[in-house]
Amino acid sequence: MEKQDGGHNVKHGTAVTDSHGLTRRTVLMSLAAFGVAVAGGLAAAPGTAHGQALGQNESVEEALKRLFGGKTIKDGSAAIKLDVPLIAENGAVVPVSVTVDSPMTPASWVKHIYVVADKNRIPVVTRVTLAPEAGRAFMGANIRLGESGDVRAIVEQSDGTLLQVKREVKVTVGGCGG
Amino acid sequence: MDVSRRDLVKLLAIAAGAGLAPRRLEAADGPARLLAFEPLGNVTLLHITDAHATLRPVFYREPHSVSGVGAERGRPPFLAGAELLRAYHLAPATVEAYAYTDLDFPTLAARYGRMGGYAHLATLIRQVRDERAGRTLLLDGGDTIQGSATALWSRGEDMVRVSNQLGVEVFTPHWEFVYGLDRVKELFGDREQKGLFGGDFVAHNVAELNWADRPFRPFTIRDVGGARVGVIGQAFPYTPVSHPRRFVPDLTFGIKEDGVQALVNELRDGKKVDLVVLLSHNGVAVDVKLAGRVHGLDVVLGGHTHDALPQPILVGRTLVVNSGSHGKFLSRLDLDVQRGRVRAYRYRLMPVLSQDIPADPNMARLIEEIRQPYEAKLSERLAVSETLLYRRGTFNGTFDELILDALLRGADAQIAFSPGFRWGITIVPGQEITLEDVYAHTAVTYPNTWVREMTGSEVHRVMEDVADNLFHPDPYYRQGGDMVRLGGLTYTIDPSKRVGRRIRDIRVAGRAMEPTRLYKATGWASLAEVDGPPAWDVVAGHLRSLGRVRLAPRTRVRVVGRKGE
Repeated sequence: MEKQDGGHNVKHGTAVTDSHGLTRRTVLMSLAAFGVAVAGGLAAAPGTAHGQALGQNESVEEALKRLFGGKTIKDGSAAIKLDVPLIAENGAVVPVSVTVDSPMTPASWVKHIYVVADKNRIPVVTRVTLAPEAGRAFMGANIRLGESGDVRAIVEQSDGTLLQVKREVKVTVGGCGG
Repeated sequence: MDVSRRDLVKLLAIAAGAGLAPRRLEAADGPARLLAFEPLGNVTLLHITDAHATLRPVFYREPHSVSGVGAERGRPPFLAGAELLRAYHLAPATVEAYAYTDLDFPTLAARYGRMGGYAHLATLIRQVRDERAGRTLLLDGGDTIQGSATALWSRGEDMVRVSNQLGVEVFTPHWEFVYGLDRVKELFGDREQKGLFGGDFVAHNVAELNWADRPFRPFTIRDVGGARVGVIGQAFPYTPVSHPRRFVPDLTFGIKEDGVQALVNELRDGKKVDLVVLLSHNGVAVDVKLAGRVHGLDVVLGGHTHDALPQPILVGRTLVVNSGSHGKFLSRLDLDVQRGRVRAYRYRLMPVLSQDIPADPNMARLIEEIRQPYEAKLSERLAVSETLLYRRGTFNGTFDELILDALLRGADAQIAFSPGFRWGITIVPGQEITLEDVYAHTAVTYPNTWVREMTGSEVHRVMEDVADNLFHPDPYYRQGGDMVRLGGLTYTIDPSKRVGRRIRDIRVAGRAMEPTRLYKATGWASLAEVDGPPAWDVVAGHLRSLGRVRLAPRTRVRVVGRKGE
């Protein structure tokens, strides 16, 4: 089941509308700022004037500081599998999925998965909240990338540990040779 | 490839036995020894790729430089010219030098003649099949149905007919998709139905955008010489970004390394095959990386980057073969496959020397039938060239310079863009350029030209973007073409730098390009829909008006930061 949520279609996990400012409204605002016509019923959504400015036009460093304070984010390459095209076929719709090799029990589980696009005007693209009942730590979404840059998956575990992996995704003007 | 005198005698005897008539038995550099092959084992894989619809024999000059960055530099496949000859212990001014390099090209072209042509290829393949009955498998790596006027006008049908006549058994695509998905299905079939093509069309890494279903079969299994051979198809991973999206709006591609591994495991463990082959259109650098990361691949038969590799690159236990382009070569890989393991192999990138291999009469008839309705139009003589005209080269080619001149003149523009295509035949000095030759450089389904104003910084950004598709340190981020050709300007490039920092000192008509200034730009083969006259008309018109082509050397691109340049 896909849930249309402006800049990203969340396929699995829980769509994000929370205190970090990733509301549908801010997504809509940012799309408007890019001059992108928002598809479907969302385009008619009113009330963007009250959207929060939080999260816009910040650098990825600022965003991570805002989300996690100064907390260390460890290398998660042993546990996190980030699946994203190396060269986007369409920068407006880039499929991302994150799988975390982790227990999902009340004692220890993956609480949040963040997807962050370093070069986007709103770098924090989505946050998915998981519960032990989910059974596995997985999320998939279509995200929008304004330009080439790193895409990160940041995992917040129930004990507060932060892990991340990142990968470069190119948004190319294209054209071929072979 | 070192051939001792004794080997030579032995090979010549085999050549005679195989029905090849060696023209220069006494000459140590005679082509016969390249056509002779001492059989080995129970499986012979025959591989062709990137024919680009080249039905008849042509001249095709290999590149004078290839663009290795970082640790890749100076190692196969990033070798050209004298460096390549040294690496493979080959002598200059021989048939190998002619087939595998750009060295002395006009002289050697006169001596050894045109290469390729499906009628000559057919003879060579028939000889191997006769000699190795029941032990051969013929695979085509794609880019077969694009690159000529007749392929364009028949929307690929002529090439599928000759492929059937040749007996191609397994196929994987790239340019095939520029005729649209529906046409690909008509010609090649899909998961459910057969198309016109008589063999198996495999492409594991093509999926429908929304449902992730595979429209085509991911692999096929063939019994060859008593061994079960599994062949996985790897279509060109970046088809949707390399061509207008409208041709494959609902498909997604990608390298899909995990998918390759899963299929290798399925073939080995589930299907109990003896040999796993990846028929790939990745490009050689991607193939080499992939072979190092996927376990259990025995052979990669690769194409796309048009590398004529004289020997396979061994990555762990995987043999990575790349078989050149334009019908110039037939790869023959003999394998001794026993109980799921390759015990021994022997390989040659066999040059299809049309002077030395007689044409197959049936194939020759089919080609004549295909061409006959268009023969008069195609053979129109547009100009005579005094200059060697070629396309392959990392930064520019002389035929591209002609295209750029035609574009600039046609649009009265300051800057011209022409894609760094690696297909397009070579014209030797003194040769006439026909309309057919122009199509051989322009026959795409999106040929239209465009004219618009661009700021200097836009021009620069496009150049950086394309350069990164060539010189990204990670081969998985490369699309496999050459650098976009630029007319009207000159520049300096340092391939070892990062994206955004490689290109500098861009000059338009000798003056530094200004980032905010608008320049009148033109080009063709746009990914967007444009409606200017098709490139073949623009180029043909330019050639007709020239009558004689004589290009003075142009120092358009200065390459820095690399040894020896």
